[in-house]
Amino acid sequence: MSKEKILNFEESMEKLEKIVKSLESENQSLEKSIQLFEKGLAISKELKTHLDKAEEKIEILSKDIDGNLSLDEFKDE
Amino acid sequence: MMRFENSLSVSQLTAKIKDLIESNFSSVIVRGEISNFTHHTSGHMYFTLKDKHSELRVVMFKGKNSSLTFSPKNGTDVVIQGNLSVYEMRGQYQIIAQHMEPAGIGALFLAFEELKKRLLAEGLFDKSKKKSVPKFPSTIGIVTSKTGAALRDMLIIFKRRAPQVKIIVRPALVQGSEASSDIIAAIKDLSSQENVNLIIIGRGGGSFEDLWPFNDEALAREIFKCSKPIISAVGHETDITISDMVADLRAPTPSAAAEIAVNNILEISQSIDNKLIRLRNLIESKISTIWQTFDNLSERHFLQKPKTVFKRQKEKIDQLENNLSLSINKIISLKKSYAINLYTHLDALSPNNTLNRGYSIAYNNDRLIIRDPNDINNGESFTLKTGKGEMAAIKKSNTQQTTGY
Repeated sequence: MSKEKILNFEESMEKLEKIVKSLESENQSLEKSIQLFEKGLAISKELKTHLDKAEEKIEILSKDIDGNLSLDEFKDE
Repeated sequence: MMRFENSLSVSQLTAKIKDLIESNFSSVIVRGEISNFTHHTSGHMYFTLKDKHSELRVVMFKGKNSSLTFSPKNGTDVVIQGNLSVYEMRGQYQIIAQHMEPAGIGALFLAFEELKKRLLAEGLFDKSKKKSVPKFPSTIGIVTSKTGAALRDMLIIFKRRAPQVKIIVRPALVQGSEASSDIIAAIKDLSSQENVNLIIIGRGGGSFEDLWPFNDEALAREIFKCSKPIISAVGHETDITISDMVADLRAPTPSAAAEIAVNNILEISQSIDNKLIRLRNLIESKISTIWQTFDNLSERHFLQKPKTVFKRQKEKIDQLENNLSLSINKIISLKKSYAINLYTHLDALSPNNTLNRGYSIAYNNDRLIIRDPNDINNGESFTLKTGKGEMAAIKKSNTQQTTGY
């Protein structure tokens, strides 16, 4: 679930921009405008939540003798 | 007796030899020591390239030798790239030099030029073949030395600018004869990780020889065919390697690569905020237009009766604004200190503070605002939205005569 959100960050940014543009350029009814506005709010909230997660996750990818890859926490030496 | 019917003329034989040599040695790299050097008044250079056992005539024409970065002298050890040709008048073969460099570094340089030319012709540097680098990568793979300053510099930048981005480091040798194949393996390892959506390969500055692994043909081909976009950042700004040319994006240094790869979290955040402000301004201007219409109409005496209809509209608008402000407040609570100023500004702009009177909006079952009691039938259910929540309601009857506007 969260993985999908991460994948969609770029798309969500584009969607948000589209919503603003559509409110700006088209003569929408009040209902439609409100709908768009609420959608825009929801998207920006999601985006912000993702940014706020700020995991600072750094991992190291290594391969064993059999060629199997494994991920471990990166330790600065 | 010898037979003469099938004999060739000297010219014919020479022409055959010329064909044979020129088609087989159209580009060679040869190393030797300069002797019998002449720089003719015509501008052309003529000399002999020799080693212990052999000699080779060399011509370097004016157009080519004018760009030499050193002055050739008798005794200089050089590497020459050029094509063989036959000087028919003397039955002599010679090399027409295209490039000449002092041996040592010169050999590498010529190999570099040769590979560059070949890959360019093959289209490995074509802009149209480059993959686009994601604007908001979520996971970045890094191929570099585990102990190098390049890695430290990049990690510092990622931590500061984009703590939300996950980093996977695949340590690799970046110098010496094993380096190219290790970097190739590292690119393969990282591109096999599904969540990686950008790869950075790089190392800090060094001599031309130090950076040599990044001029490897197999590495160039691996970068070209990798399914994930790659940023190459090798050495300093002035060092350009084959990897840089074939990569989807070239960064002058590893630090610059990190800066290019991620948008500053602050900038992303501000860009979201700006969009929110635009949204809000738009909706507010829409609402204020409706307000004005309401004010204009309600001032007219003959419309006093239907005033309540407008009042209803006004209530809806009030409530909508309330909801908007609530939503905004939720967002504000998510925010960190960096953007608080923006919102303070927003709140000052908002008319909600003065308009907040606790009205409700009625929605029909299609979630459209009910503007007129006749919008729904008696007995039909609708939703009443208040500041603190919604309730289901059923229309009993119209309480007064309505007019149709």
